[in-house]
Amino acid sequence: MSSFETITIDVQSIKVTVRKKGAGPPLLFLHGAFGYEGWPTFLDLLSEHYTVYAPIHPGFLESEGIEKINDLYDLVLFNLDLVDCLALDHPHIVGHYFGAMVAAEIASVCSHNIGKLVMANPAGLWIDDDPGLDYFIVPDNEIRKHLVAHPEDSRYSNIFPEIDDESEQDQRSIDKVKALSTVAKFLWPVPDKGLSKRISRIRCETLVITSECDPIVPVSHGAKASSLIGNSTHVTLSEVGHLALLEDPETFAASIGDFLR
Amino acid sequence: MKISWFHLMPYRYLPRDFQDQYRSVWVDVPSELYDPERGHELYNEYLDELEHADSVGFDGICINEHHNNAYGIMPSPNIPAATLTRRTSDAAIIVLGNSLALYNPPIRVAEEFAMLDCISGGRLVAGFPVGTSMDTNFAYGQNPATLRDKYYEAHDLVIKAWTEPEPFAFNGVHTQSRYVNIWPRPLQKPHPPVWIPGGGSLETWEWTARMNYVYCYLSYSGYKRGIEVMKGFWKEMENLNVDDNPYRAGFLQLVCVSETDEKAEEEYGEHVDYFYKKCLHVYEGFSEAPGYRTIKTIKAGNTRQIGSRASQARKELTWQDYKDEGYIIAGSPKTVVTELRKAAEGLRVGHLMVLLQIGSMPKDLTMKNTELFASQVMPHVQDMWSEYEDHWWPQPIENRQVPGESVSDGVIA
Repeated sequence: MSSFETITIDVQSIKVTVRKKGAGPPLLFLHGAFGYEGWPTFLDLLSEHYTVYAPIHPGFLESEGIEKINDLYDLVLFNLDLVDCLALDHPHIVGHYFGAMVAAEIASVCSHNIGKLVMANPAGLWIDDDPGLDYFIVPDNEIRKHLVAHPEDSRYSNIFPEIDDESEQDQRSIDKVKALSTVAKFLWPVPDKGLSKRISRIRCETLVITSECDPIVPVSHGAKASSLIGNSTHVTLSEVGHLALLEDPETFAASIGDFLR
Repeated sequence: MKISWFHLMPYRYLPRDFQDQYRSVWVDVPSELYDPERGHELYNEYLDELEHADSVGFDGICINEHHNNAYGIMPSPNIPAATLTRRTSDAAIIVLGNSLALYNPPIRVAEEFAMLDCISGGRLVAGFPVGTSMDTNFAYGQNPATLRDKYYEAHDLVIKAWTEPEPFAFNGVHTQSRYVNIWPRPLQKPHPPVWIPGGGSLETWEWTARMNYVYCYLSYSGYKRGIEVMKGFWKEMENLNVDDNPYRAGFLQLVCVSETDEKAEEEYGEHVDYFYKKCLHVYEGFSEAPGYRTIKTIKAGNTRQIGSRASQARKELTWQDYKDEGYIIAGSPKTVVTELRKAAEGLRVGHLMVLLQIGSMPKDLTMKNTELFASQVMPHVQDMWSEYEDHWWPQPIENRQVPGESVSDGVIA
């Protein structure tokens, strides 16, 4: 695996770090609330056929500028400008959880410069009888079992692993607080901010991916999103959870790859 | 030193095994555990206790605001405050406070506090807590990312509503109004003294200093830990070139007075246990919504007094532990005087608030605690800080109306 490139762009005077790798048509990956660190395998697999752009959203890790993005409208405009700044021509957009909501929101406003859309474990839907887990209240030492389908399986030990080193643990806690406070800014306390009213405006061909064992995004949410989008397919991956993109990168990337072709 | 009598108004009838059966006293505590007939008794007893504190000479009486909470059944503190304006005559009425971000629009706080100030003859202290995460983010759905901004904006609106003589438009992010013009206006000028209850956020220290308000450190981790935190506070005041007048600070201390040290344990032990083991049994997941604390404050480590780590620490505490950590000051009047002076010195606090009704403590014991404190402890601690002036205390009018005898001169100007 050769390493990725890091580019920095200026979006509305906010410095954004974007990881980039690959060759072929552009694919923008918008990350979620968890599993956004580093360069995971599934992105590497996608980079075999696409030029993958993976920005770190303001409010995560060391990125700056979240104080300038204060409501959903700001969030949508920022991300539309991000796409413009990267000067991408009809990029496919793949979003995970929070990133999937952002992707759907920007596609709802303006699909003109978007290729295909993939919403994986999408945030932003709400069903009274099936709201999904309130992960905001799950303590740090319990969150892992809600993120992966088989937390005891040693194959997944490097996903959100146990950390012994206290200062590393503290850093991870702080990173998590930052990430979740950014997500909370737009999703608190009930993550329905009206996406289902607008989502029918999406003109792109869309794939909605849910995971069989994801307590955070019930399969019903994916079904609801898909039913509202004109040209859409909904698939559910088995034996994986919220972090399907890390648990089974080959299947995850293949589902997307097949759809994009 | 000013001494004020604080009431939390806890629900006293949680089941014996409460903390084993339920995950939290706050936010999702089951409603079936609340018996409204008991509630009727409790509210009335508690108001009796607050009124009594006024009659035995406490400088102030304090109430506060909590939601979805079995350890404090005052979601609307202005309601008991209103009854107290009529049934007390001298004590400052310290509403600690109105959690500003939870009042929409915040103009309501300006109005209600103005009413309380007028009815009481100028005895109100206006408390403005940001509010706990449990109250604000979980019970009231306030966004943790914007809570503090909303609070500061609400504060600015309330102060302006009190002080700006002409109607004005307010174009805020969280509140907009074209004609802010409250009737009535507060009696005290420019407005009632403002106290800010906090749990250790560094930003609150800097802000209260800049605004010249009182900072009240409300902590259940004992005065010894409190002294460490307040050292940080006074250091920050020094850094900001603010004087060290102890009346800039307030602190709440649990106190149990009995005839002897041993008798204090006999009489008060189970109620203090109820308080620490049930009243503070808060599910860790509700203690701090992400974004509620700034990263700066998290790194400073001041604020982890609730949540499971803290709960675990308190599970095994004995009476001796409570005393050793300063969670309670308990014993004979002599013991209490000595230790209270030591605590007040260490904290450097001019506005001492005491919690004399604790946990499941019934009325007769609360009255005993109050009587002993008022007669045998208070006179021996009030003399502290006499060389300082308290600029943050209500300035009521002299000739205040007496209920049932209210007469104005009726002359039209």
